[in-house]
Amino acid sequence: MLDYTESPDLLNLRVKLREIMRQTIPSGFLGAFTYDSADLEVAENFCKELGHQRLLAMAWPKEFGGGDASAWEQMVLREEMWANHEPRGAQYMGINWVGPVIMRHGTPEQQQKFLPPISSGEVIWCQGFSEPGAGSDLPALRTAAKKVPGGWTINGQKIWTSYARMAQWCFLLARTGPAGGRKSGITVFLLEMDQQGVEARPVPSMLGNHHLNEVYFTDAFVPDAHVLGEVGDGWTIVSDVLAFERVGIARYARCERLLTEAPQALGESWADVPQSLEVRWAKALVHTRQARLMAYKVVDKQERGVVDPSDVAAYRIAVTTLDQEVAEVLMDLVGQMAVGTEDVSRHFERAVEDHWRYAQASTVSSGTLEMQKQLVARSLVGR
Amino acid sequence: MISQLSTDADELGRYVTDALAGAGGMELLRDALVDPGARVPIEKILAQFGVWELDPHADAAEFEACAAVVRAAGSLALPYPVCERLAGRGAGAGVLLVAHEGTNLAAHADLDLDWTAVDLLGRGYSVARSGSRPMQSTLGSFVSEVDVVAEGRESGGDRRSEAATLMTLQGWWILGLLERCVADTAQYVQEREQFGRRLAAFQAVGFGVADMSIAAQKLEELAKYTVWSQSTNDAGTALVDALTLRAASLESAEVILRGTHQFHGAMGFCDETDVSLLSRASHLVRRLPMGVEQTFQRMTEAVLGQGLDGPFAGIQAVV
Repeated sequence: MLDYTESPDLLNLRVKLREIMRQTIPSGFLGAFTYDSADLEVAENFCKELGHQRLLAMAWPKEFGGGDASAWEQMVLREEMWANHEPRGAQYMGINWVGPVIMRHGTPEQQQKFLPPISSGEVIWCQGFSEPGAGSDLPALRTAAKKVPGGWTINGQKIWTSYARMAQWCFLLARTGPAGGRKSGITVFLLEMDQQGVEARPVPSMLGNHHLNEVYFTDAFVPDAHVLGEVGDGWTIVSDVLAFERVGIARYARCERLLTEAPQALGESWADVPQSLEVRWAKALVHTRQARLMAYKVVDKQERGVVDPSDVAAYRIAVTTLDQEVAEVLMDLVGQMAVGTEDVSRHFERAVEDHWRYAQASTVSSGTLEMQKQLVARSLVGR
Repeated sequence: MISQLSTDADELGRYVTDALAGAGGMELLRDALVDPGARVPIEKILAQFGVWELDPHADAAEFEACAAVVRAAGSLALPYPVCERLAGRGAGAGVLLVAHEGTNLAAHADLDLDWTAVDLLGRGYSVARSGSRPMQSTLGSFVSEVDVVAEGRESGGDRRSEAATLMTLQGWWILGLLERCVADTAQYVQEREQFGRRLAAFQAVGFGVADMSIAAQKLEELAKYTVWSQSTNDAGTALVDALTLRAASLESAEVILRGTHQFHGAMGFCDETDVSLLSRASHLVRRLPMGVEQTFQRMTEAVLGQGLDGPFAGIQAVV
């Protein structure tokens, strides 16, 4: 029968995570990617604390530093993190999919080398996928890998690479087959960022510091031991990456939190909110609940071993459009401070402004809205 | 957490769907549009499946079973007040959803049932007069006037549970109707060809059907949660949740029925096409007792007063 009750284990996990955040995250924290390096340090220390308590990679097997947690516990973790401005910073990527993909496709030596630092919160990964000519059309990538004694040299360029300037490792897609080979002839390389031949440059953007970078590879080197899976069979692994990114960021959690806080945050000035905006606020709360339930549908199926990519795509469409809807409602609610404020005591207003900027990428990153719709459409009406 | 209806409820829903198909399917609605008296035997058809022995107020299992039944009924826009009877208390009783004291329009109020009424906030009403025949109206088939008088507190004026139950069941009824529209539209665009191609081959059409499907999926998940809430939460929370389902269902209906009509082209307006009749019948829930914006207004007032449950409802700022 239907049951949406959170078990005592899940409730206790929420309490535990909130307590850890209360102890380690300063008030006013709006994420790791600001221009204040102290925020990055907060995230790094937080990850180490979570890693110490085996909560950072909690869904991983214990042999790799995880907690053997269930998909539901992982969901709670995702919600609590996003609702609190993702204090794990860039490390969620390594936990969510880099590590799981290495578990699935890596050699024992690769697993021993790469997994413990991720689960203990000591390493940041970046994703070397998109290129100027290969965004949604990722198979069009051109960064090339050439075989040399002991390994490969990499030449090319990646773009939009989040966290590239802080990452120690890059999960890189490069072409080992002939140019124009599309999905055939792509290989996954685990590339060390700190080497001659790798240059990461920031791309200033409205999203905030560190979110967008371009990375140039000029005869960068990857040893044979750091090729993941079979040479030329990288697309199989890419498909797994997309599957592991399945539910992704729990955007609805921050939406719910900010919407719920709004009346109290506005205080007396809530009385001046026009009725039409109040209704939009309430509608957004309903849509938030719906997005959360769509996530639960995916997790429920995951727990039962059922994987349906169109379910995931439907959820992603719901939650990314929600993110933007809520962003607009919140910006309207905070009035003139929607353009920002230097008054750090205005935490809610600053959180709203930060949310709006990041929400603009919701329907673009990790598969655009149109790509997701295409997937849903094909499941319904074919090609 | 479990986000699936029970196996028993699912099976009952499939059984009722098959049985109604065997009893005529959409012809039941077509017959009733010609002769409103054709609604009366539907009561006996459903009685054969034990539908009237179900009580959503009894426990969670029966509520889920009722939800599955009304979903099946909605998929045919069955011309009988299934939700209203199931939500009522007692044999032969039915409860109507009204907007206010005085004269309202309500579907099937002319049928010979022991009627009472509730409004969206759970205030109870007795029925002073109900119409003797439905009005002649393309979008208001089976609708008649009903005069209601507010019940005092001493005679049971607080009927939040019945209001919540009725709105939840109507949410499932319209869910069944909308899911049928999505399915029929998906099939139609795969069959209909223009410019040498199936309509489904045009990206705009595929995207539009995707939007319709997602609206239905969002509604389905909310409908399931709301059923669970009715058997789990206090009366106030259950009512707010039922209100949110009602408002969301009307919103989904706009998206899905607009898409249904658009992608069916002129065929979608013709009475020989099922979606035309489903669209017309949808107004019994979409407009009565009030439309989408007024419903959202009521919901907003309830949410401001009661809040809306969730993992971050009422959270004190952690950071």
